[in-house]
Amino acid sequence: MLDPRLTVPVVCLVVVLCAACGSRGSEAEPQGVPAHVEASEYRIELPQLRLRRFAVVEDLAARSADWLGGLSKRLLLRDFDGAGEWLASDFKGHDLFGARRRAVRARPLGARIARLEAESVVDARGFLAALRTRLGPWRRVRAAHIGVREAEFARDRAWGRLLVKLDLLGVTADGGREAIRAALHVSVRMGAGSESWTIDGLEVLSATSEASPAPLFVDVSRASGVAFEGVRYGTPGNDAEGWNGAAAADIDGDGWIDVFVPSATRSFLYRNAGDGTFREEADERGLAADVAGTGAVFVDYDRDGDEDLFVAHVGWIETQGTRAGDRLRLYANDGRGHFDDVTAAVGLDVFAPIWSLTAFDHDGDGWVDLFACGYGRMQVERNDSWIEATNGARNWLLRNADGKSFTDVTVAVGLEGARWSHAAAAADFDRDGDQDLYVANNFGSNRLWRNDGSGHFEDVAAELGVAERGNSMAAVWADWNGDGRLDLFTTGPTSHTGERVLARLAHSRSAKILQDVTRMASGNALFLSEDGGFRRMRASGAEDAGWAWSAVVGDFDLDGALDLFCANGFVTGDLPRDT
Amino acid sequence: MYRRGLSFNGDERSHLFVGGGDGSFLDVSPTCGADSPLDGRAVLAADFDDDGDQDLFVHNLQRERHELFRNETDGRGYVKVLVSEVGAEVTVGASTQVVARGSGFASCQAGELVFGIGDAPRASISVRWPGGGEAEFAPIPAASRVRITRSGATVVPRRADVSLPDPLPPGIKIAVGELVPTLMLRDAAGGTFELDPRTLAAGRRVHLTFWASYCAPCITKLPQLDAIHAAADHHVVAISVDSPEDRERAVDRLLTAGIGYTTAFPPAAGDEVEGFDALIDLSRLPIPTTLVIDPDGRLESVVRGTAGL
Repeated sequence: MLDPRLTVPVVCLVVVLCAACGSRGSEAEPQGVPAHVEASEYRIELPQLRLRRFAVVEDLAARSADWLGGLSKRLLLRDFDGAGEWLASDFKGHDLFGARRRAVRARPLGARIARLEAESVVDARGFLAALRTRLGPWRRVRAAHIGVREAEFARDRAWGRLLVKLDLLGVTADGGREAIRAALHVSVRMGAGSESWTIDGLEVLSATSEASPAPLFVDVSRASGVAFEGVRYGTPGNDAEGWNGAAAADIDGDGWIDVFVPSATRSFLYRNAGDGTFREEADERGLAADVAGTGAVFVDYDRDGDEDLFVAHVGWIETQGTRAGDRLRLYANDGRGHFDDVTAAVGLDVFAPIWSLTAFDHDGDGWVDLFACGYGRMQVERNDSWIEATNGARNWLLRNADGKSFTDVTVAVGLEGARWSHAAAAADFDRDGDQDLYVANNFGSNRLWRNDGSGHFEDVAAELGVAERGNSMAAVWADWNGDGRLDLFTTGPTSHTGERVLARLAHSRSAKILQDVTRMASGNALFLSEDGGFRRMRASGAEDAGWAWSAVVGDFDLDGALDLFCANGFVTGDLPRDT
Repeated sequence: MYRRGLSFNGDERSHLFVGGGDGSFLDVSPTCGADSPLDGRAVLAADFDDDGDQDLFVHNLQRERHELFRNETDGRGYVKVLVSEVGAEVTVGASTQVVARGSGFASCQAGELVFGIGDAPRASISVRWPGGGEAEFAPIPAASRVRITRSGATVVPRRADVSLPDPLPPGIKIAVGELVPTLMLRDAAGGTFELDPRTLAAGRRVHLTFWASYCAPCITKLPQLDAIHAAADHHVVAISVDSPEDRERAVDRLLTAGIGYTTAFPPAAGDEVEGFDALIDLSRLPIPTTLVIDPDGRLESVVRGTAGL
């Protein structure tokens, strides 16, 4: 029985001898390992006799991920002695942390990226010494993460080969940032329980170091007065997973941009004091009573020259017709940044589970209308499909009649449908002079509502190639490739656990189902405007932002090309394991 | 399941994708400084301090709910376009942005667009108005702000020469000059004791050093601190942030180094934590960090890393 992991012939021979005499236990001396193995020849091969049962492999993969999570924690603490406990005494592997840096290219603002090339194979002591030398001088390890992307195990469960992604982020001695990222094959030797696993081999597939002498952004939350420590998700006062909107505008005409933040138990109005700090003034400005808002937009609905405020809420109508939850609200600005609730005065009576709002002039009459994305209430009814759900809450187009009242014209303008709508973005993508609308949906296809010029809409998403199907979270319009036409960016989650599962399922499931399921976790998409339609850009470089939520466009480094920033993450619990 | 404390796509860091101008992007997240691991939802990009670059505001699901990141881009050419009409498309150079009220997810951007223009001394701006109609404007100088309406363009002055403030030192919750609260700590034997900086100071400077036995730079620093402690007008207290199971190792390290100053540990579960929590956020504190407290019990300075005192 030849151990197939090591292709270096001499090593193989030694391993065979060791295996034969049963001396691969943890107390065994690392005897017989050749003093020198060329880094270029070092490989960790797949087991020849592999475990095939999906559930068993996935269970072992998940356990190995948990076990490596403990190593991540040791790296985060820079507990190098502690990290050593994960390595077998006869460990052999590429010298990742002593690798030579080969410069690849400079990045904006003085950042540099280098390929890390392991030049030797080292034992545990050498590996840990290099790790200590590399990370020891850092001021802080900001993050250490080891994720298992693929896993295969020998049928006798004695060992396995994992494909892992390692991410180490730190603050360097000079206050700069460094990120070491590597794709590795790791050979794990498995004892009876997860406690007795060890790493006995490590092969670097690719590794990079990115360093920046000074980051583009610094965190001034506390210094500027906007920091707020909220309760944990899932505790009273915070149990709405997808709300948490925010809106920016100069509310009092002093030229400084203020921020409104709705949330579960209170609202925040951060007034920009013009000296770099903010003061929370929701109470003084008439917004304290607004609680449990989801999304919000500032817009001058009555054309009196100031920024009024719509705040969405989750409401519904009970079967017997009673209204429950809270309504969509409109607050009129008095011109000095004080707000009055005029919801009833303008005839708004919308009780619906609404998350995002988009203001735009749908009929070109000069008065800005409001589109409200109806999502749904998971507490009452789950989505009826993961791929094309049709039981979400309806959307709303509320027509602004001369700044005096709002009327529901949704059905009349053709915007029917009940998908689980996360967000929308308006723009004249086809340059015909009217405003079109893209709607990003969860559990189903997105819609591109083309305006026919009279304020009536038709869904052309499939025809024009933007019927992104999956779990779209957000949409943004801008011209990213400089051809003068608006492109579209949508966000959506990627799931590495999901990819691992899908990679195994690929052998057994139908191509069609697999394609649909894969698209659900395929991340962000950039659709470039082309020949009257859109082309989904392959490998734009902006696909993977984890479980991405909002995205915003801007030229953050002022280099003349537009950038994107994405917030992300679903729920971080106290336990390290990702479900 | 995440309601039981498990993560579901947790600890993901926000992403910054720097555009190449051709539809390609570079992921510069790990070194961008705005890669918060919190569960982000809405995002606002706005030039909150009117210095010509866009800062970022993020609304998170939990913990530190509101984050503000100051943009550090300085000295690069830009123009800032103020347009209030929703749906207007503004083009500067090769970039076109739309004035949107409600885009992304549950986010509403302010009616200000910022464009980088490199070294160009001035920039031309064109606008497509909703409903049709385009307008070209005479070039405006770099670093200008211009308000554009259907009736024309007006250059407006910079509001004030201000900036969002510098970040506070990470992990420390009080500002320099503020009184350091009384701390309840654990000693090496596991007992509790009270550390009142004013009483302890008694005319001296107190150096409160946070360290851990696994931290190589900390170990380097231990003898330095001993030398400082030996001076008449200084007093050192070292607080080890080792996890409880590693505290024995911390005490060993101190014994090995022949340390003469007080050593302590953070409060344990169930201890009085008010003072400690008002001073320190352990999850963000880089080590070693030393708080220098003046004889009046106020925070005088913060020394990070192995820098001398």
